[in-house]
Amino acid sequence: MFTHRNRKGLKLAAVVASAAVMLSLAACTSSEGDGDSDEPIELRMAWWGDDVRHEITNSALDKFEDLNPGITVVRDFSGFDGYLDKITTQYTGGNSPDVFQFYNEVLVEFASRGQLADLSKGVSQDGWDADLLQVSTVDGELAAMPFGLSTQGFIFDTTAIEALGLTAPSGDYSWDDLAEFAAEVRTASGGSLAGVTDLSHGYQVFEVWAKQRGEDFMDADGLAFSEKTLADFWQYWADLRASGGATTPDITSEYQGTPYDAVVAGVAASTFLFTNQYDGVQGRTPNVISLERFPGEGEDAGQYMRTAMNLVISKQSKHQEAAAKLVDFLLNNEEANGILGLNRGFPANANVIEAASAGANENVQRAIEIFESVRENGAPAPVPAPAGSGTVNTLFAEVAQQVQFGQLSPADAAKQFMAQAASELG
Amino acid sequence: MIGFFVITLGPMLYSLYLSFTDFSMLAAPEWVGFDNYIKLFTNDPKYLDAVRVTLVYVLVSVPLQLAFALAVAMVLNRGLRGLSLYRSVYYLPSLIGASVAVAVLWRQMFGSNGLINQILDWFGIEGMSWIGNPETALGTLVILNVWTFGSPMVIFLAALRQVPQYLYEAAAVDGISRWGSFRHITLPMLSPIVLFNLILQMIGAFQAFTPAFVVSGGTGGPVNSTLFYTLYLYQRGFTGFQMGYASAMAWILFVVIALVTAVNFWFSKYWVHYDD
Amino acid sequence: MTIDTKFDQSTVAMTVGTKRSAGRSTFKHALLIAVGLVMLYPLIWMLGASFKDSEHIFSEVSPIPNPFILDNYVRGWNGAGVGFGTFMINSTIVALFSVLGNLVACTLAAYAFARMQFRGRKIFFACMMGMLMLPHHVLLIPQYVLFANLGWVNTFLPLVVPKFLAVDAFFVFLMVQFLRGIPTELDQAAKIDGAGPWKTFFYVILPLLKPALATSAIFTFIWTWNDFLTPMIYLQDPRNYTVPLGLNSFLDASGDSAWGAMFAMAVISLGPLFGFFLVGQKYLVQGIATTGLKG
Repeated sequence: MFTHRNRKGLKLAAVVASAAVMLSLAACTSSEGDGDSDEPIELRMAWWGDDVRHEITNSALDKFEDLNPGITVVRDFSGFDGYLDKITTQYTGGNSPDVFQFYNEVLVEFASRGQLADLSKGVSQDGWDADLLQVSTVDGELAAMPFGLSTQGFIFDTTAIEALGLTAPSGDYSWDDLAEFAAEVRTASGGSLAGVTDLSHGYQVFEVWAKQRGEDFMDADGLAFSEKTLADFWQYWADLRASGGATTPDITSEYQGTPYDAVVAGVAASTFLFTNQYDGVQGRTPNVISLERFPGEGEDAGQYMRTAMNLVISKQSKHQEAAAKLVDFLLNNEEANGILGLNRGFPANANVIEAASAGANENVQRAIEIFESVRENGAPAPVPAPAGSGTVNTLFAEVAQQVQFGQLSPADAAKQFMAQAASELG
Repeated sequence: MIGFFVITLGPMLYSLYLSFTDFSMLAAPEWVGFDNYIKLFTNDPKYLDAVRVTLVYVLVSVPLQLAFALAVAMVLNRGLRGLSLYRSVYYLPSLIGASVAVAVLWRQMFGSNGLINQILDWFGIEGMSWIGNPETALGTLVILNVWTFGSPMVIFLAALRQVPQYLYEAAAVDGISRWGSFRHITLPMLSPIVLFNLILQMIGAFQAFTPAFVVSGGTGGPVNSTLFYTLYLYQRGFTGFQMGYASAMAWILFVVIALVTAVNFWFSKYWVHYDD
Repeated sequence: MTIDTKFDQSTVAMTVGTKRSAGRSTFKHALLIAVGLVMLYPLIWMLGASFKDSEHIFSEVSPIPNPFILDNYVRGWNGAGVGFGTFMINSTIVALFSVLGNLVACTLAAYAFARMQFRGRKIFFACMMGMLMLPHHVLLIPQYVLFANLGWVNTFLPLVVPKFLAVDAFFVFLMVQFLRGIPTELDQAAKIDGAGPWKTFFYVILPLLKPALATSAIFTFIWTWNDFLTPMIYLQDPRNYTVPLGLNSFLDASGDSAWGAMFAMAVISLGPLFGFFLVGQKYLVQGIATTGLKG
């Protein structure tokens, strides 16, 4: 199934040896197609997801093509594995997708190096919360817009918990309540079930903990919490491990990337997730899983509307205007959001929430409840962390793991983390 | 040869250049001289972890895998009914050994709910998560490597077929034991291929990436116990946006592998038998 | 033949090892089956999971599906809007062209290395081995830039053309080792008969290389079929995707992965691989022993 471009390529193969040819080719590829008025435009959009997301996104894009004759969209979809490698490599080849879905952790790396187009120019902000847009503004440019929002949540395996004659925490519950509950689960199950997965390595969990104490994980200047807060956090989990409430370190490590799998597998009774994952997780076990807000004193303390994923336009795109049209359509068009639904999280544009939430099942309804409550009472979303913060996230998990396996005390670990993180951020 | 120069040598030299730069992939590389190399050896404890893990992996998994592959190849060479069926079945794991499914499948073997723990449970032994324990995680990856022994096995099988049958016949007449004919006929005749498998599997083990990446979810954990060299290189290059640093790591590995391979070739004079 | 010469002197041919007792053979079979079962457990588990509904894949330990459903196969086959059949066809095309490329290019290159004398042979050989020693990840970007400048991105060319240029050093080295195992007396005999290097190659060497060729073909097919990162980076249109990209496109990072459909398609995609192996292994066993060569 060679496409028509291949034939051109095969001929070129004959002369591949000469570097001069390569250079001249580089010159002519970069001069082709500048998207004038009548010429048909071909955009490429990349995203990751599962087959359900691919299907609904494809139908939304079909709709877009219907409404905009002359523009076609190549659908470059994939799974999550390798997605970043692909985008980065294509950037270096001057061949990035025009529009793509992108995640928070690496956004700044691209935006601070001027690789993302300013969305404030061609995308309407009607119905958008100004604070929310501030979160993805880098160097004064709107580098990205949320393509779905979510918030932090906690899930409890109600079926398993009730079988033990216990009740899962709900509504307002504190970290101490969680600790007590977790230890009870371990005792009541005769040691076979942990009350909660050990979350001491999750910077996203610590972020809420820090916010509840009036601090933050990171801000634009780097670390934004005190060493004591971190030491307390790690001590909390050390106590839980000692009481048997938390999973043992080997099991924690096995489920490190996806702690909710430990609940699905029946290894732990509760864990943290993001609310947009809840429906999918419930679908993976016959047990009833309940969704609650985060533990902590005070209503929704420390939780915030978190961007689950972003939509961005590459500066390399030769069709900025058409690309902006596509982004505008996907984020602001009611019909588009009716098709897309809540698959990527809640729409950030208040005007399309209704269209998107039509047909939500009861799990999703529950997620909406939590989310709306956080919208009312929650903390502000953090501003973009400086470049290099990805390494700090990794470091957080690594140091925490050394505490889990007893190689470091919580206090020493906190001290070590502060020093190493500071050196990574330079 | 032309292909070699354009498609491989060019990019190789370019990456050598990159190893002397600070290159984020999103901006032009900046020349920094030997900074990357200096930092690797003086200011990067994780790098030394990666070196240690990789050396252990190479030294343990390569001999194990080769011995296993040769043993199975000998058994599956001839003399039993249904051999082609066995060969195919034994090759099956290698068909899937590199796929994303392995992460999940390995958890079914060595996870806390895995097959191993179920078997231990029959004997009343309480298991643990073998892939989640820093003491055993690397061991499960060694087993994963041995599990996908299909490639060297096939190569051994092909080579066994090149050993002239009359040599064994002659040996039998002389009353040489099976072990004796293995030592004096099979091994010498197979030695060029043993060398091939040894060198290639060593190179492969030095560069092992996929098993650790999929089983640890890209972290190299627990506690860096499966942080293979190329996994760390990947973390630095693609997740940390430090491709210059990663290139420096790659070139150090290149030199090490080249030295090890050269030593292998040099020693091969003493045990590899060629006809030419 | 320069192996322990005492063997060479014997001339009486006798079959070896046929008089082993039946008990021994049964034991061997039992052992082979037991080991095979343990080795296959992960695959059996995957096969079972492909018939489970998503509620039961990860929440239970047993690999036996209950209830038994076929939905995963239906969902997977239609999957992702393009259809898995397209991915299978794409993979087959890429894999077959790669096999052809590797067989032609690597055999010729190996013949040159093993049998011909030319200047810089050792240096070229060292360079070729060097290609194997640099981690693939740091070459991705320079190679991508190269192919992007050639306008080959989003075609199969970056996946196939290199194979025709003998850049797969693994197979060149493999062939060299096999060639060195073939007695040079044969070449000399052909030379005396007046055959040039090409004729010698085609009529003497190639037939003897069958097991090595089969090995190379099997490996090339399987490795190209399973290759993930290279197609991931070069192919940008789902209509050109290969099987691993198709499998990966069922897997999101978060809770929403279609594992059942992924396992189902993984099972299906093992079919062509296994088929190719079955065909290939027939040639694998046609070595010197069956072509009747005697020193």
